Amino acid sequence: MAGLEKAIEKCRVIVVCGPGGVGKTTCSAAIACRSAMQGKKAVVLTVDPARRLADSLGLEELGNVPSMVEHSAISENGGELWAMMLDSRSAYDEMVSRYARSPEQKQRILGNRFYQHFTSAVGGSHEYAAMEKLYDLAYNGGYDLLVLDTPPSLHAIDLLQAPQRMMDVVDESIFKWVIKPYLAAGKLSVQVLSFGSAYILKILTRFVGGEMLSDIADFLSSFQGMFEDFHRRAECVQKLLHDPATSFLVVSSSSPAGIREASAFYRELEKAAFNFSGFILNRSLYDENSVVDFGNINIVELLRSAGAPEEYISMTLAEKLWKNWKVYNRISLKFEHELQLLKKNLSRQAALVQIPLFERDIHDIGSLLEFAALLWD
Amino acid sequence: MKDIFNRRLLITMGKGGVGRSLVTAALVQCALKRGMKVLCVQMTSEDRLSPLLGCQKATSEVVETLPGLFMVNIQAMDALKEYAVMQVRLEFIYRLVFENRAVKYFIRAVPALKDLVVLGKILFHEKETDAAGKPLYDIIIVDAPPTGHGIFLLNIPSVMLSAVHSGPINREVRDMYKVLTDPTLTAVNFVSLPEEMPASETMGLYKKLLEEYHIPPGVLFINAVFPPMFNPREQDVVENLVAGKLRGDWRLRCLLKCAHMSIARHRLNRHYVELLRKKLPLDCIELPYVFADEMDSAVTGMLAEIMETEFAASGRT
Repeated sequence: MAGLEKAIEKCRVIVVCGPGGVGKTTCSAAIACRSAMQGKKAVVLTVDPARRLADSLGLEELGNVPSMVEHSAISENGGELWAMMLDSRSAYDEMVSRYARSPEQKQRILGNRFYQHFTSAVGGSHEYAAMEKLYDLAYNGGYDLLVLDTPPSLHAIDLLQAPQRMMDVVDESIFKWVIKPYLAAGKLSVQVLSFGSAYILKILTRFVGGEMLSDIADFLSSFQGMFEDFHRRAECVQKLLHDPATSFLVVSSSSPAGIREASAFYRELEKAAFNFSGFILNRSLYDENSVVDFGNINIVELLRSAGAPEEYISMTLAEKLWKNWKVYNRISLKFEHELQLLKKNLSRQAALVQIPLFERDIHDIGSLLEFAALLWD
Repeated sequence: MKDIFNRRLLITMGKGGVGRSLVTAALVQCALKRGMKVLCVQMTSEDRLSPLLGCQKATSEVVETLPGLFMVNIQAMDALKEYAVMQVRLEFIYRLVFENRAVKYFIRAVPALKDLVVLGKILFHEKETDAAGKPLYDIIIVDAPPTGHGIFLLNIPSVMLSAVHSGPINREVRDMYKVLTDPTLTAVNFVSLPEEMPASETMGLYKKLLEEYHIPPGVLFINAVFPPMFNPREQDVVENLVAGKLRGDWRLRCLLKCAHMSIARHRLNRHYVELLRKKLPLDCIELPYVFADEMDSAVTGMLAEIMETEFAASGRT
């Protein structure tokens, strides 16, 4: 099994995915940090960093433009670290601005009530905004390495299909069937329409309410003419994701359940033919010695012969040390078992890194670099 | 401690991976123990609660999975269909209209619509009555989606009210809003971990739900608090031994390393427990880190017992 350094050395884009709460943001930031320290111009796109981590990366507020993180360890080596917190709302605003055919069209979309309410919260839209921004930075940013921290999802496929889902939503056929008839007919005069369209409209109006339908219709119709651009863009994003220099990392917790989740991600990525560079099993309570059978040991004796001060040595302490170790031992054994199953199905080039449970929070460049050192070794 | 079991609707909220389902399952067990007739609601592709309750799988239909426990896994598209058929009366019309490809895309383009019917379905169950006119369920316990989506879900009624001023949706959401913001009917229980990110997110979530959405809060559960394996004096001894770079047997070094990890973990956890208690004016229940290979109904039962002790300690439940 390869280490992470080797597995990602040829990558220009690294997509870090996995379920929620496993430390994806920390891993992403650490990878970018370390690469910058090695002299690269690296950028990390994060989704929802912890406050202090955000502060240390200079991300006081949402914004859709990367800002440079100053740190002597990085600049000394000629590298640059950039960071950005994704804000899907402004990503959409940017997209609209880019593709709008006229200032009027842009204003009409941005001013639409429906657009305002839902772009920031629409399911799957975070994923799409992330992909969109990734593409933008990959081709216009001049970076050596882009690390994308993704929104948590239980299925890799949610993330990867986001561009396609967006395409479906703005599909031209909505126009033919729903929007055009609606705009042509207005709420009251459905008679002028073909029987089929009129009927569908009538039912939909009853279901959704006329006012909302008109808002939605207006919203979708204001995108008219932009569909082709959207399609082209989605295709480009797909191509970037399948590029040989793009690779996926799966982060998961170091628990038996975490390993099973990680394997599920891996299978989905393989199935969709994405490049996979490895697993990061985070917050491991596992220690290589804690799976060994210690046999009968006399802890009091061991302490004594190691030269521990006599006042430190007691039976109670010995018992507690043993009890505490047994906890780790039990978890480690179970974990080891799942780990072997995972390794069996893994290619030799893929990395598999275990990170011990960090005893303190990681919220500055120094601790990020320490964390990254564990990833690299 | 306030009695949350006198509400009709308990909603469990928290970040992904903090143990929402485990807390939900333990609350369900507490309610069952009180002899209540419980409806337990999830809305995920994967049924996470039945293994934790040791019962058969939940489906999109309400099923009694244990005596007194009814479970349902609400799937948005199913709920939407149900609602649409209710509105347009006939299933074949539903198929004609809603299974039209363009309309399907259209509905996907309005994801709020899906969440709206999910919420509608939950509140429909709240209003369900038996032949005698008595509520069908004593309490409804909902395992909400992770924070971001969960907030969106609970905020839909007020967003919809501002966007839609008339029609059937307006009537529906007006009703939903009333139930969700009524402190005699609803409580949101928070689940957090004693770690930086979940803790700060919980504080943000609390502020948002209470100040912006006016949804009444219940109890804060701080999950997976690492237990003190050593007393303060023993902690000092271990730390001194570790700091002294004790040579000697590799097994001893391993024992000390594990002890050191436990102590550091415990200290870090205490820090965030105190922070959460200080910052949030909520009744708070700490749940211990569980050293089990798999989470199952025995683990749930253990946590439910801890909750019971805390509820009882207040003397008012």
